[in-house]
Amino acid sequence: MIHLEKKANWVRNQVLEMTASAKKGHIGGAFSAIDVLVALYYGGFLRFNPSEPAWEDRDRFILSKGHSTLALYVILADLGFTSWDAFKTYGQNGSFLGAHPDHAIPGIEVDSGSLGNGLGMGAGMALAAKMDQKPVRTVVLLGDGECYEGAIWEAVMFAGHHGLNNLIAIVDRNGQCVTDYTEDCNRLEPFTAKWEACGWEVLSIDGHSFAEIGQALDHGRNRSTQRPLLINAKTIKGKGVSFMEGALEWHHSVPNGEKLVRARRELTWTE
Amino acid sequence: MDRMIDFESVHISEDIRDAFFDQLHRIAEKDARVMLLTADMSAFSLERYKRELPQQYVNVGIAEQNLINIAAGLAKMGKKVFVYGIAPFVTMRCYEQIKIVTEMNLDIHIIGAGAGLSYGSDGYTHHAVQDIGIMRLLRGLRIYNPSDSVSSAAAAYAAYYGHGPSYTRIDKGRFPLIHGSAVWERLIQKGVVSINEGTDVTLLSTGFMVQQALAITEALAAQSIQAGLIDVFQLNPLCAEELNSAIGNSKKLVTIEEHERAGGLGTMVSEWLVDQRRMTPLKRVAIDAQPQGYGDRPWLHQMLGLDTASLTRKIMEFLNVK
Repeated sequence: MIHLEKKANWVRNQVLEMTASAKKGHIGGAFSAIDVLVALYYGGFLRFNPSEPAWEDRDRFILSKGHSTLALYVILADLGFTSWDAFKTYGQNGSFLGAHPDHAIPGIEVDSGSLGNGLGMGAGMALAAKMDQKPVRTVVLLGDGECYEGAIWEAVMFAGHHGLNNLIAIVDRNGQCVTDYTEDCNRLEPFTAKWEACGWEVLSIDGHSFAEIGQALDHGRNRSTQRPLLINAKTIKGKGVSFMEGALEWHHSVPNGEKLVRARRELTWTE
Repeated sequence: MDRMIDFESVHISEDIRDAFFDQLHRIAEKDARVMLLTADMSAFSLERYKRELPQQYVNVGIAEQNLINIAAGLAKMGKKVFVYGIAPFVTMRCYEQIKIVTEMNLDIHIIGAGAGLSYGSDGYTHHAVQDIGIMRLLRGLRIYNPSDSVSSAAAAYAAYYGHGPSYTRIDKGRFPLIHGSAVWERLIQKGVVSINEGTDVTLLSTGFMVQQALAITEALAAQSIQAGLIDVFQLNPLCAEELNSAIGNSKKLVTIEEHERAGGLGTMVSEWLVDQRRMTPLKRVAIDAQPQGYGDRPWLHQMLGLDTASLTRKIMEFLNVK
């Protein structure tokens, strides 16, 4: 478990530094999702091959909350999907890495800058895998603020109806949207009951506990049910930097000066 | 073109929608990658498709955004996906999703039922009179607008064989055949077909209005006016080279369409003329008003000045013929 925690800390540091130097990035939502991303990519759940990104039997991963893509870029570069030199172009004019995922980037399946479409696309992939009897799992990471989009619920119904048990949705339930807290803006609760009502199996976990994320993913690997799986990962926006945690202004603020120094200090790894 | 079917031996349904789906059925029988998704829509020939190819059919329900997203996922996994809905809904409700799948150049083919005013008294919500204008903004999205059953069947092939996503807008009902099956390949490969040659004026039309325009050429002939007629089957990209040769040395041009003036065929031809630095006089006949009240298509045409008599009069005025 410690290697995942250490890796997640390292990813947070990379995201922090890149956001600071490029003066662009969505730190809050990246930090809330990083532990889940690290568990997916380094915990042995997703099957992929960095030297063959288009490998037919790879698991499909969609970062539907595309604004957290900087964390995914760090991971894809670390795993060898892209080079570090390429990664370093983030934020520069002409870079192939934008602020949101692009299907042209090795390791990224679809464009997901626009919120609300990843789950439907993932459901289409899961349906195709079932039709063709491929051993492919599809995982979609959603933001909770994203779940205001109606297309999400169209896909929730579709996946439940079609028994897409090879589809896993993970909601980064940090309780915040861009400018507000979700329960103040437009109440999402009772959140998981809505998914259950549409035929999903639901697990609620601490999205910063590698033990709980691991257990949930293990469960996702070995299920006998016909239902798709929702992992409702309770997280903290800005996780890891105290003054960012749960603070509304850190959706896409860029740290500098004293705040950057403090963030670096708080993210210093100690064994 | 890799032909799976001898076009001339194929039976073409008189119903313009059935003609499309019959051809899609033939394609899907031979290619298991082909999927048909509907937003809870029916058509006579769809029943046979559903019965015989159930593994290649999904009714997504009345949810057009999800329709396109599911299609995107399927296409990413190697399927060739046709999606079917009511034209204004399957273009405008899910326009942004279409923008994204077009950017990803996915093998998705949108079939919009109810081109132009074909839904008649169902009203403005059901009329597709802005769809060409918005869909042609999506770079790489082919647009087909069949005028009869032969071109409708051809659209299914053009969609399937062509590169990248497409949108076909289909009318409702049975119309006289304009094209012989020999023209099929020309429609697919050239996108523009000359129906009549004429020395006084050339009419350019698309979709159902080609039927109207054909009647107008006859009315004009009775007035000793020789009008040519071009069916613009492929609207995006506009086949400039083919259009150039079809128009030839026409002295005057008239576009006739059942679409808002902004963004439709008239706009395209205007742009094309400017780009070609051609000074040929052009009259654009299109929809210029919101219908007041409800009525069938002939009633709507009269109200909007798109009936044959009004169109003939407008063209004669343009030609300075009293």
